[in-house]
Amino acid sequence: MGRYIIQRLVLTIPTIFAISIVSFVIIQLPPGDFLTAYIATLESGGQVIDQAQIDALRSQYGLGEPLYVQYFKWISGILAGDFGYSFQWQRPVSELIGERMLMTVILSVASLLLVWAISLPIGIYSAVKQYSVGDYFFTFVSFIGLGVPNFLLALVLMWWAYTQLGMSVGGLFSQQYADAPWSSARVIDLLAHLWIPAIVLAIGGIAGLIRIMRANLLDELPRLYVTTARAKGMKEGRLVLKYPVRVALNPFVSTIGWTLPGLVSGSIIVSVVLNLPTTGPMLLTALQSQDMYLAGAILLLLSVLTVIGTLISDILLAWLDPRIRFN
Amino acid sequence: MTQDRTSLGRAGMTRRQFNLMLSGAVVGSAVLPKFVSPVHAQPAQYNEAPMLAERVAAGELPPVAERLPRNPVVVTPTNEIGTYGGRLFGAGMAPETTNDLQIGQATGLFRFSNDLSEIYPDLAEGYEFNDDFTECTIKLREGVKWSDGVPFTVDDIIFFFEDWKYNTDLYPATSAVWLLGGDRFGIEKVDDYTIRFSFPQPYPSFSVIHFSGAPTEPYRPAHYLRQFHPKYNPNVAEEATAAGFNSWQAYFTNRADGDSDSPHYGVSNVEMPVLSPWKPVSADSQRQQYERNPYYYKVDTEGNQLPYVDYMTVEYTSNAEVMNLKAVSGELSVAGLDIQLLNYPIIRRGEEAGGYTTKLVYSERGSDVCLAFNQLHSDPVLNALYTDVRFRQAMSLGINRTEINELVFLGQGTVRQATVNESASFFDPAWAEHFAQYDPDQANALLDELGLSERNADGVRLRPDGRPLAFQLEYLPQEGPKKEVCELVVKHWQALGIQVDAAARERGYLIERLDAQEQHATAWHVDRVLERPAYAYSLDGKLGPGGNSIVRYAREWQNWFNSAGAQGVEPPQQAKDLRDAYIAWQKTDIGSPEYMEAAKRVYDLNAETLWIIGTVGQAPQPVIVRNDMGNVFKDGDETRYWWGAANWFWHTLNPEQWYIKA
Repeated sequence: MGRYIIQRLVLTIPTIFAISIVSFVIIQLPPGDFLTAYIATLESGGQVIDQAQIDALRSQYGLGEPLYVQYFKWISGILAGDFGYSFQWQRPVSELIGERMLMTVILSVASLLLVWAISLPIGIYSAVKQYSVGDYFFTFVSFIGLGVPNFLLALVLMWWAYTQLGMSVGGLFSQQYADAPWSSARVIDLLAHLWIPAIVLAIGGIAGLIRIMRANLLDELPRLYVTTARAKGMKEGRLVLKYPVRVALNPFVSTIGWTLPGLVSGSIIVSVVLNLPTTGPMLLTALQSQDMYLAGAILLLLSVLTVIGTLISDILLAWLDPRIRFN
Repeated sequence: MTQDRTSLGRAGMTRRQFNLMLSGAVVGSAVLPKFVSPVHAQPAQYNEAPMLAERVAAGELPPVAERLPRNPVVVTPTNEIGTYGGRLFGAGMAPETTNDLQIGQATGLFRFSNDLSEIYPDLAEGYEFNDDFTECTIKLREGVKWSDGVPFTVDDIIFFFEDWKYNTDLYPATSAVWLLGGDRFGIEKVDDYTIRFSFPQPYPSFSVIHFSGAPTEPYRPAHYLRQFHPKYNPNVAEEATAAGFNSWQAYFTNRADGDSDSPHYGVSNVEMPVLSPWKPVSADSQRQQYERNPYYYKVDTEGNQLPYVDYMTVEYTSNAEVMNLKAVSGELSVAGLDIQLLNYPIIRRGEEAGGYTTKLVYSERGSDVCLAFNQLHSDPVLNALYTDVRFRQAMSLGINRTEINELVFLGQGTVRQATVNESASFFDPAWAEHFAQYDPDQANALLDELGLSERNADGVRLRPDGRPLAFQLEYLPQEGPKKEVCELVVKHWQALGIQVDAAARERGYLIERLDAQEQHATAWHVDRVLERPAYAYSLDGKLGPGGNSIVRYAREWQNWFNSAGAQGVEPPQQAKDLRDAYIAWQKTDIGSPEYMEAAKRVYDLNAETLWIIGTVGQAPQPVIVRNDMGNVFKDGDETRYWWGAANWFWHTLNPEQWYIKA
C-alpha cells in the first residue's frame, strides 16, 4: 500500500506537467490574444487605438514571442513560486486567486456537506422502503432535480428572493457588510445569502447521489449476509447502516476526489449568474479575454487538486473496502 | 427620384425636431461649436467637507484656501447647492473596462457640453492659435495641485509627451493620435503654466483641443512617475523584475495606471496622484473604493469645495444581467452602461420599489447597426457587384427600416443613413434620407438592371455567371442589438431574391477574416458622429475611406494610403477624393465658411458612395438615477441628451456636484 502511494505521487508530476502544457496551448488557441479583446474594449469606450500602441503593448506583455518561449517563462516562474501578472487586473495572479479562495472553499464545503447530509439518509430510506409512497415522492423530486438546469434554478431563486424576501441580489453580502470586518452580523448576512448558491449547487448532486445510493443499496439488501444477520437477531437499523451502506458508499468515496475541482469549475455558470466572488467567474472572464497567466494558474490549480483528490479518494476507498487491493 | 417621406414623416422625425428645437439646435441651423468661458463672481470664502475640516484641525492638511488654486473652477450646480457626505455606488463589468462612475471621474484640460459643441475651460484656462494655425498656446490654471499636494504644472504635460508617448523605448512607433502627418508636435515650455505646441502644417483640428468626451488627459504626475523611468532612475529595470514584471516598460505602464490615454479603465495603481474629484483608495478583485480628493480644484458658486460626496464604491459584476438586476433593485446610484433597452419595461415597472427614475437618452451613433460590403472581394463576379453603387443603393432601398425601428428600438430610434449627427452646424437632411426609404420595387428594378434578372426555381436571383447570388452577413453580437437587426435585414433582402443569411462570429475569427478580406458583408455601428469628434478624427473612423473596425471594407486601400502607394491596392478615385476632402476639412478652422464647405463636401461624398449603409441610428438608451441623488439632471428638463463613445455621458453632467439627499 505504501509503495502504491509513493508510485502514484511520483506519477502526479509528469501528469501535472502534461496538463499545464495542454491548458497553456488551448488558452492560446483562439485567434488573437489578450490585446485583441483589450483594444476592442478601449475602442468601444471611446479611445482611438492604432497599430503603434498595439505593438508597444504587445512587446511589453511579451505576447509577440513564440509559444514555447512564453510557456517556458511561465512554467519556470511557477516553479519559483511566481504565478505571473494578470493583464486584465494588472495585479499578481497569486493575490487575485488568494482573495477568492476563502469564499470558494466555504461555498464548496457548504454544498458538499449539504449534498451528503441530504442524499445519504434519503437514499437509504428510499432503498429500504422501496416502492412506498415516500420512495416514489423522492424519486420524482430527484428526477426533476436532475433535469432542471442549475443556472435556471439559480435565476428563479434569485428573482424569488428579490421579489418575495427583498434580499439584495448578486453577491454573498449586502452592500453594508461588503467591506466590513468579520462580526456575527456579517456571518448572519453571509448565511442569509449563502443558502441560494448552496441549494442550487447541491440540488444536482443530491438528486444524483440519491439515485446511486438507492440503486447500490438495493443491490446489497437481498444478499445472503444481510439475511444471515437478520436471522441472528441484529436490529434492522444497525444492520443496514453497518454493512450494506458501507458497501454502497463505494461510489461516493471514489468521487470525493473530484468534488472540490468539480464544485470550483462545474459551478462557473451558477457563480456567474449569482455573481459570487469565487474563482469560477474569474476563470471565465480570464479565458474570454485570453488573460493567459490568470487562466493558466487557475487551471493548473484545478488539475493539481483533481490529481491529488483522486489519489486521496483511492486511498480512502482502499481503507473503506478491504476487497480492493492494488496489485 | 421621389422622396417617400412616409417612413420618415412619422413620430420619429417630428419628435426629434421638437427635441432639437428645445435644445436650441434646429435641424440644419444648429449651434456652432465654440469656446465658452463662463463668468462667475469669485466666492468670497471657501468651505470644505467636514471630514477634511477634521484633518485640517489635526494638522494633516493645509487649510482649504491653500489647497485650492488662485481662481478655482466655479461650478454652477444643476439644481441647487448640495450637502456634503455620503457614498456613490456603482457597478462595472470587467476590470479593464470603464464603468459609469469612473467615466464621471475623468478630468481634462477642457470640458465639453453634452453635444460636444461647447468647450469650457477646466484645468486649462484657454487656448489660442496663431494666424496660420501652426502653433497653439495653452494656458493652465495656476495653483492646481495633485492629490498629494504637489503643484500641477506644464512639466506634467511635457513628461507625458517627451518621456512617455514620444519615448521610443516605450513606444517604438509613436501612436498616430499624437502625430500630424507623421510628424511629432513641437513642444515648448513658455513658463510653468503656459505651453506652446507647434506643428509642421496648419492644424486647426488639434487633437488635444478637440479630443472630446473620452477627454484625453495629456498629463501624468511627473513627480511620482519619474521613479519608474530609466531616464531618472537607473535601477528601474531591476526594480521591475523584483516586482514581478516582464520589463520596465510593463512596470511603468502599470504604475501609470494603464496605457490608454485617459486612465479610467480599472485601477492598476492606487498610489498614483490624481486630479479627479475622488482618488482611489483600494482596488481588489471585487470592487474599487474611492475617497474624496482634498486638493480638488473646483468649488460651487457659494465657495464650497467640491465634490459633495465623500466616498465612491464600484463593484464588479460578472455579467450584465446581474448589473441590470442591481440597478432595478435600487442598489446603484447611477447606471447606464450595460443597461439594456430590452429591459426597459422591467426597469420602468421597478421604479417605485427600487426608488429610482429612468430617463431615456439617445445614442449619438449615426447608425446603431450599419452594413458594409467588401470592396475588394476575390471573386470577380461578386466584386463587380459589390463595387457597383447601384447594388448598394438597391440593398439600402430593400431594408424596411421602420420595421426594424419598431421591433428592435421600440420605435424610438431614428430611421437614417449612417451620416453625421443632426446637431452638426453643417448638417443637410438629404444625407440622412439618401436611399433610406423602403422601396422594394425600385430595389428590384436596380438589381434587374445589374444583370441579376434571372432567377432559379427557388426565386433566388442568378449571377451573370449562372450561380445563385448567395452570401453571408457576418456580425459580432456585441455593443448593441446587432443580432436582431441583422436577422431582420437578411429577411428583407431575402424578399428581394437574394440568398443571404446572418451569421454571428466570434471576435478574433471575424477580425482574421477581415484582415484577409474574405468577408462579403459585415455589420457594426457608426459612432463619433457628433460634430466635434467627426471633425477631429473621422478620417480614421468608420466613415473614412476603407472603413474601420468590423466594417473595414477595404483594408488594402488604407494600406495604399498609408504607404504612399508602395503597398496595398490603389483605391478608386472616389476614395481618394473622400480622403482629400477629410484632410482639407481638418485644415479649416471650426465654424468658418471654408469649414462648412469642406464638411459638406465630405458628407456629400459619403452619401454618394454609400459604402456604409445605415439602418437606424440614435437608439434610445435607458439610464437610471436613484431618487436620493441630487443635481444629476436638471429638474423638469426635457432636452434630448446624447450618449455614446465620444461624449462620456456622465462626465458631461458634472458628477463632482452630485450630492446625496438625506
